[in-house]
Amino acid sequence: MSRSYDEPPRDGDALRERPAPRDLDPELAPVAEALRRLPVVRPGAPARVVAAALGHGRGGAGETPARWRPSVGLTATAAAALIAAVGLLLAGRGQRAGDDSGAGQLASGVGALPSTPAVPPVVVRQTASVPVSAAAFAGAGLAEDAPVLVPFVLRRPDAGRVAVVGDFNGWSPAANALARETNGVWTATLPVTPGRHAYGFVVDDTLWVRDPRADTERDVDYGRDHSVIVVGRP
Amino acid sequence: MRRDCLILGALLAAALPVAAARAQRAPAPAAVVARVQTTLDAATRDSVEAIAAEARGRGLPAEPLYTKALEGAEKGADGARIQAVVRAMFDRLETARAALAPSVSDAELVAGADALAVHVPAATLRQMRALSPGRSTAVPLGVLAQLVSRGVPVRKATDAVRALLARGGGSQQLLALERSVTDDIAIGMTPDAALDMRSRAMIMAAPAAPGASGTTNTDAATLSSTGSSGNNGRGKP
Repeated sequence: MSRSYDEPPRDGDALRERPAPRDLDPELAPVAEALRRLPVVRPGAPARVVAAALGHGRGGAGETPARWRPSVGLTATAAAALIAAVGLLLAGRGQRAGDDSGAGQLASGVGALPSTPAVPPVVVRQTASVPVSAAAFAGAGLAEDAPVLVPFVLRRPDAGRVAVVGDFNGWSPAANALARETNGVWTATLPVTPGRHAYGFVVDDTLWVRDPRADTERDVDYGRDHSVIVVGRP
Repeated sequence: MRRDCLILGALLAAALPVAAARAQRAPAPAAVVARVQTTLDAATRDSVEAIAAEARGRGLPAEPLYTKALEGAEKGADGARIQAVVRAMFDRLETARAALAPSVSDAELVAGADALAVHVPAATLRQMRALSPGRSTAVPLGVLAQLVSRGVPVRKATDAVRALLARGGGSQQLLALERSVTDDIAIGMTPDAALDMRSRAMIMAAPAAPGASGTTNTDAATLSSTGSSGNNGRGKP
């Protein structure tokens, strides 16, 4: 199907302003707003200030490096390896059971997953991800390649239907429709394997829209740029 | 304690071969295969199916190939273009598998192929595997590809990711680095400068991981002195 391809609409919506790689801290939002209203002395200066403040707030380079690699004993390592092996076996079972389900079942698969652990979400660009049980991972690979739940958000008040398409759902507009929330915001949360993924939104089955809150990548294969996210497990 | 270790070792010896056998390539989801049948024209479909069959025969996953073909269909590409892109994807998957051997998950294969697509050399994939034995390289390769895609020179991006891995950095640290660099580029910094600043700070703040090899306390200095010749002129400014 041939679709028209559109830049994200530039209607001044806060979701589409730069910098908007992540939600602003409520205390920082008024400061950012005040900076934006000042006369422009140097292009990018307000964004630079906000970014610097955000970087300071989240710790940036000093994010608990001492805890990156906890020391573990031999027994603990062996136990972890055993758990991983059992996880792979369980994954294999899930794979066989899910062979006939296909990408179209991705969205419904979220509801079928066991409750996810209450861990602090990892911010992946604009999105937060939550780990999915390795047992629910239907694919050959390491347990740490098990999918994480990633929310997709698009503000499109004029749309009657929005779907996300990407390399995680076979680029199928029928696979994962977003649900309409308040104020014309559309959302969906999908299981996506860790790594880098290309995607876009299809609005009303006719219009291709990139995610205004994510990075855009030039598509050297097909010539139609898409959005990109990098997903990782917490 | 010793007895516990022996018991666990025996259990592992019994379980790991079974797990390894289970970690074969998963078949492509039926819905993806069905969409290939219904979406592509006959000539393109036959060509893609032939490449997919060749992939299966060589122990490569077919799903990334089908997905690549469906991406082309969704983006309105013609059949000849789709066939060429799928063939190129097949070649990259094969190169990635060889570089990431001996054990490669589907996610790693796709990440490796993606990195190769932005001109990360196969030798770099081998380095990543060596730094992460028994661990997935999907996120490190994804971060590396994204940094290069944003205009960071390949060599510099590789050094930064490698240094973080060698210091025990995990997905969170790698993603934080990529996020910071991308944000800095968005507000006007050059990719080179952004990576220098962020990676040096992260590496200097990180303690050397016990037993980590391949990195020294001079990593930060090395990063700052790495040239940009490895970019091959690729990536966005």
